[in-house]
Amino acid sequence: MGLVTHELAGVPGEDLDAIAEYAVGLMGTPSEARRARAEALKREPLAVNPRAPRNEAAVIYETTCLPCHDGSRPVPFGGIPLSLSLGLNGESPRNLVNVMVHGLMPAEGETSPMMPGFAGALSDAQMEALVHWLRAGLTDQPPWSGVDKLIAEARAMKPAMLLFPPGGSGTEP
Amino acid sequence: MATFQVNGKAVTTDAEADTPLLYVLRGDLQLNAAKFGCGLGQCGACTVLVEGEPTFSCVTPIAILEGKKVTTLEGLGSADKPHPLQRAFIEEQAAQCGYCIAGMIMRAAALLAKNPNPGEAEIRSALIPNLCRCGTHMRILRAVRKAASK
Repeated sequence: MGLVTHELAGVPGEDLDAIAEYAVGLMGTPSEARRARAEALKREPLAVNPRAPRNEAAVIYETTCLPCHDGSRPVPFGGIPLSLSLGLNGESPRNLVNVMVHGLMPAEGETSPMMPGFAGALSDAQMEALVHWLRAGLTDQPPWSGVDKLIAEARAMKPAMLLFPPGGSGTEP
Repeated sequence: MATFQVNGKAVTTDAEADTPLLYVLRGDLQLNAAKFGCGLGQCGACTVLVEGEPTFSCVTPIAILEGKKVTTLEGLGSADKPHPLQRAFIEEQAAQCGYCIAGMIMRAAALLAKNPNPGEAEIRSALIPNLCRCGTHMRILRAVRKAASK
């Protein structure tokens, strides 16, 4: 998707406005509940659902994710609060799992999001527990299933297959 | 507080849960091969192996290491008995300032452990996460090729 938005940067402003209007139209008018949730997230993006378990995964979040994802530093030196991430709020955890395993490769020669992968540091069990905790602790979305399968698939994938950094044609040194 | 293995020895540390592994290695265990570079997991100077996988120790809190095996450059070999990679890096004089070299060797060691005969593209691809600012890339690649051919 990074490539898509990168390419769109060259599109005239009025066309971008039209695309944005169309996309917002598809989403429809947000419900009162959805609007309230958005306001709450803007006020307290780091708030954790009090019903989220205090388990090992909570500690992984606090010690491994939060030092960068606390919103205190600008991208790319810090990450956005994870409650605001599409990766946590989407229908499938695939993107979240891929990024946890392989990270995000920085774009060549320009500012872009970046993140180290945690394939070595986190075991499969730790990753799975963390994915479930993030969903329960930082979103109002229903739990995911099949996370273990996606972790195995991500580990089997070569990062080069996954990551095409915008702005560069290749990643060879 | 966490207990894990470093170079085959059990280590128990009472450091805070979010303390990066790198700080424990350098500050408490006097294992100074791994270096602090960027602190963001982007340069590779701090690379060590966790359960055989190359890992940025600067963004790895000790809380997630309970029971795991960590290997640093010091665990690969010694001056008397260098690992084939260490020997090849010396023979090829792959270091200029040397700051990146411990991380380079550890990432290469993980590659060779899985794939003893990597092709040129596989070596280059594996080393992408590790940066060298002196520009000794060609010597580093020669050293890895040399170790791989033994």
